[in-house]
Parts: sequence; structure tokens; C-alpha cells
Amino acid sequence: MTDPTAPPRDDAELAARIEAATRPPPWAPHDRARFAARVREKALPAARPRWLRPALVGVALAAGFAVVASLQRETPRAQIAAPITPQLDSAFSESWEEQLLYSPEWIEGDDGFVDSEVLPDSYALASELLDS
Amino acid sequence: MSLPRAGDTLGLLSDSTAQATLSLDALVAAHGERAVRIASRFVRGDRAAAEDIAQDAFAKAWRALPRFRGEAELATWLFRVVVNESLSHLRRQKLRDRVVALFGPERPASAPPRDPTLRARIEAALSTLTASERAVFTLVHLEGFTLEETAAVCGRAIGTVKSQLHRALVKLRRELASCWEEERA
Repeated sequence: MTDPTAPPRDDAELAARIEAATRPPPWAPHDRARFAARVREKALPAARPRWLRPALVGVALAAGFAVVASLQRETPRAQIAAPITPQLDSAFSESWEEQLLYSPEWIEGDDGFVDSEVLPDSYALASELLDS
Repeated sequence: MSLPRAGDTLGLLSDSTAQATLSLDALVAAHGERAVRIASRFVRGDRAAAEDIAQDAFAKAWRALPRFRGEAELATWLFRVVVNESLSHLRRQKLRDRVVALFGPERPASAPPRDPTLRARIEAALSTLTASERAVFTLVHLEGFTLEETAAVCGRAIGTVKSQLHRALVKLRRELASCWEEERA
């Protein structure tokens, strides 16, 4: 009989002592059944109807669209500050006749004369006002 | 100790769920206890953790079975999955322990050892081995696999297995040398 407190004589004895100290207890019959049931649960997912997956995907997509649509409706429009600049202020301070006559180049044609076909009524009105 | 041939279990495979369940049960009945025993060698005898590892290994192996090419024996392949799962668990456990040591309270050992002092010393010595050394030592010396079987399970050449086994034994002998002297005193 070997002394368990004596140093192991060789590698085999060292390994045998380690094995004895770390040996797990044997399985009881119910351990086997429980283990097999658990493996089945993990390995074989529960059978689902074939239509269930596409239906779930469809419902999820519809819900997603509904959420996005409601968010877009509820989001307040971003308030854009009006570009108030000194130039704009001065432009608006002019009377509409002055603006019409002196500033916009689009009223005049390439030859420098006023294109009466562009805004004939406005031009005629402005001329009358200036003449009067 | 020899491993069962792949065909023993593969012959039971079929498409229908009922027969698949039967085949899975056959696989678990044939290798379940040994798979749990192997896993428990890596997790300080924590029975719950070992069963969890083995269950995950069976589930993974079962799902991957259609891709099994039959180049190795089915049991060899299965135990390779068990060993890999165990080593992954060890890595995660080490990471968790580091985080807990940094931020949390100290956690008690998961399973009460039969001989706390000797068991703790042995576990400490085993934890000094690298993952490969530990796997090789566990399979050969604790689970009785042959060198060829161990090489197949670990996916390494026999020469590599032998050298890793030698290094593991040298480390264990060195780490445990004082243990026997203290026991004697």
C-alpha cells in the first residue's frame, strides 16, 4: 500500500493522484434523463408552423412603418430663421416703384431697353405712376 | 479505451423529427456521461457548469452534423467540440474573475471540494498549464484517451501531444512538490 502523503514516484502516480482528487461523482439515472432532456431542448428547437415566421416578419415590418410614419407626423417642422440682412432691409425699405424701375435686371432685355413683353402691365403701371 | 465508430450513431440519422430525437438521444446516451466528465475536469468539478458545457457541445455538434465529413470518428469530433467549449468557458471565466476582482466582491468557489486543501492546490497547479497542455493532460491522464485519440481530438500531431504532455507533467510536478512535503509534515 502506497503512502498517500509520500511524493509520487513517477508521472503515472502523480496523474493518478490528480485524477483521484478531481474525479467527479458518477451519474445517477435521473441525471442522465435530465441531461438528455436539456440537450433536446437546446438542440431541437420547438416545431413552429411554416407560416409563423413570415407572419411575424410582416407584423414587425408593419409596426416599424407605422412608428416611422407617426414620428414624421408628430415631429415639428424645423424653424428656419429668416435671412434678415442689412441689404434685405434696405431693399424692402424702397418703395415698390423704385424696386421695379431701378433694381431688377430681368425686366430689361439684352439691349438695355425694358422688355415690355415680360411684365407689360407692371411696367405700364409704374410709368404712369412716375409720370403723374 | 477505444472510441465508438462514427457509423454506429450516424446510421440512426434521418430527416424526421421523431427519428432525429431518437438519434440525438442515442448520441447522448452513448457519450453524455463522458462528455460531462471531461468538461468537469476543466471547471473545478462544478457539475452545473460541466453539464451546461456538455449540453451546448451536443447541441452545436448536432446542428453541425450535416456538415460532418466523416474524416474523423464521430465521438472524436464530439469530444473535440466538448474540449473547445470547455476551454472557451475557462477563458470567459478568467475574464469574469478579472472583472469581479476589479469591481466586485469576492466570489466563493463554485463547488465544495472533498479535500479542500489538496484539491485547491491541484486546481492551482492545473491552472498554471496552458490551454493545450491542460487539454492534453486531461484527456490522456485523467480520461484515459490514447495518444492517437488525444491527437485526433485536439487536432495536433502525436509528437506535439507528447511534448505538451511532458511539459504539463514537469509543471505539475514542480507546482505540487511542496504539497506532498506539507502533507507529510
